[in-house]
Amino acid sequence: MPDALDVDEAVFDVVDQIPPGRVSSYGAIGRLVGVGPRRVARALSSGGGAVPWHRVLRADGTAAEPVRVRQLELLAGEGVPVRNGRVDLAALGWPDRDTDVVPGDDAGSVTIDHRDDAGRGSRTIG
Amino acid sequence: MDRYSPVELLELFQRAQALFTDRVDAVDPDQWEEEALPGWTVADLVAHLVSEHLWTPPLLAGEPHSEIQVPDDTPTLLGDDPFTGWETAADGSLAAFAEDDALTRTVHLQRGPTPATQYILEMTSDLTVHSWDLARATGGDPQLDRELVDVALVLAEQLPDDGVPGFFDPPLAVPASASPQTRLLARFGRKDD
Repeated sequence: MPDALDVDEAVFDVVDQIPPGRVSSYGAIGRLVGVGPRRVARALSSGGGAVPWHRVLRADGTAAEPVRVRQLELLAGEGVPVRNGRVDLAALGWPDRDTDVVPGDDAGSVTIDHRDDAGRGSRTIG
Repeated sequence: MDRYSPVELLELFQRAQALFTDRVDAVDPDQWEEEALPGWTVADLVAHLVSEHLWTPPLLAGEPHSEIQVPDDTPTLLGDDPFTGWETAADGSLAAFAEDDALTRTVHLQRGPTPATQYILEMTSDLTVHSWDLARATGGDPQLDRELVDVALVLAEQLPDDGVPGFFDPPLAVPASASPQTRLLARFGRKDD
């Protein structure tokens, strides 16, 4: 089981590859690393200063509240269009589903510890 | 649904997702088999939300209800890690609603064509009420975001007085002076205790 620093490092490795003028989401980075969006956000907020953390947004293209103003400033400085506090991830999202090379195979095998079992039984309503 | 702009609808939906995510994050490993709603374990409840949010991207892409394939069993929906399963589904639905013209579209639900603005409002209300269910079942924080309660009350007012069998329980009677959260929960057949 990888320790927390391995996950942090894997996140930083991937975020470091987002080119200027492009953005990604916590979930997209998480999918490359094998963790969830919150884990990515935690890695970046606790030690992402050396990588372009500002190029990582929420899945709806908005910035997380504590860093919103600074983040949108940095993005605007890179020529990223921001409309209604939102970046168009469909247009600028990295990596492109089809063309961009998925980075770092070495980063792809990290998993975090699981939360016990997923439960059984079928749902009866809904 | 002119009461909220598309940007507001998206922001409220995102907040309702965060409300539910916080409560999924707070589930103890030994609580997944506890009863959350009649006939539903905590795992079933979270899986239900995962399923609903997996439906969102294909629905917003215009696929008809009858052609969309989403797993319907709890273990498949939650995978190895329920938290990651939920976050992944939530991330996908948020990204789909955030596409530039997503909220101008019509989705084809089982009951028929529905404006995406109505659909996101229903999803937001659903997250809000189920956040309370999950918190109540797991000893978590039952206090709901006041603004989300207001959103859900807008939807609740549209429900028939005798509920929707299999989906919404009939409303409970509460005094008109009750808090908005209590009135909301009562509208969905739940007692805010």
